[in-house]
Amino acid sequence: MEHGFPSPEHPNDADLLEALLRGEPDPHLLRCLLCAQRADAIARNIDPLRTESAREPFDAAFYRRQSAAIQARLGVGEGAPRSLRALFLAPRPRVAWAAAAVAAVLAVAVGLRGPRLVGPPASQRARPVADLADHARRAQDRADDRLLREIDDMLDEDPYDVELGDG
Amino acid sequence: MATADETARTPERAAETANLVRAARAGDREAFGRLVELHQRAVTRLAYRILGERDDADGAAQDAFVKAWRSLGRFREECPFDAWLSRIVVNQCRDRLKRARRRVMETPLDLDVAAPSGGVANQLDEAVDFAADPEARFVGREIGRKIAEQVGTLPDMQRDVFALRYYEDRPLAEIAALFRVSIGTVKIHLFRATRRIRKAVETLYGTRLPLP
Repeated sequence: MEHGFPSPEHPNDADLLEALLRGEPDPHLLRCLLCAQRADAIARNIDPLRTESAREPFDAAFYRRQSAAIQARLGVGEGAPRSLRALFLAPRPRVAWAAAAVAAVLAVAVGLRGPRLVGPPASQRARPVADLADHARRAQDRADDRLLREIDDMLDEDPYDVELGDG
Repeated sequence: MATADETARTPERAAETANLVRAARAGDREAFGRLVELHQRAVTRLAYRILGERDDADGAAQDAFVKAWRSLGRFREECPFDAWLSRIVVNQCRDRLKRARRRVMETPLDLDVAAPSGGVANQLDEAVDFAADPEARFVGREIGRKIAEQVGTLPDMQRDVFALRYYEDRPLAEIAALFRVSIGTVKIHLFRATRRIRKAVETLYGTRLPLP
């Protein structure tokens, strides 16, 4: 382009693209032929189907066939919501089968390991979780108490009970 | 004679669409068939604009209607049906573009016989493709695809407004009326959408696009 690039007086390609996408041509294009040509080239290249001649690329027969195809697909239940039974009995892709097999092997391995003979009993092992929950509950209680005290303090304050100065 | 699509934007046709949607939601497949007839042109053209390939556009349009039939229960009537449908189409197209991109990355690309989407370029595509330079055509389509992919990632309202404005050339006032919002609100969504797409394109190509 003769006016050079980049140039502060002229929009760059990104500016032109943005204006094109927004459907509001830059007013600069009205007074700058080179920028207008550039904008046109961008529009033509990124979306060759935009032109009037390409507006209706399909004929009536195409749409009749398409409509029939859609109805046929719905007819065989393709668009129907899948039942739970179908979800469970549907053929799974290989990856899903592999994942299920790995999960099964892991479950068997864990099961074969059996109960632990050393270490604390299950009731004690579960305690840290219970302790954590209890701790969180107490912390929440303390926070609630603090908030309530602040509200109480605020409500106890008499907004008119202020020390007026000498003036 | 006006096509079904051209009249679809009149108030009478909007009322017919609303009635058909209610009937279709109740399981009336004939009503849904009529909805297909009313909207298939707009839906297919939108898919064609995004994908640039006839068979793909047909497939995406069919998938969109099947998906719409399946999802009618989740359709909220306060949202315009055609905007909701456009959203489904854009998503279908985005998925197809992603799949095509994966195919292209997995197979060696022969520019002489294959379109960038991986399909064989058909005669109509060639006829409407005015960019004489094959490289420019390729890059241009890549940018177009990047834009379509970005559209698929936009928040719902931005995506709907953008698709209606850019791909369907609907006037701002009509979009505003569809969503029952002001033109200013439409402009804001449009601005955010285009700014986001611009940034994505800029990240790839900079401020100077690799076009002649």
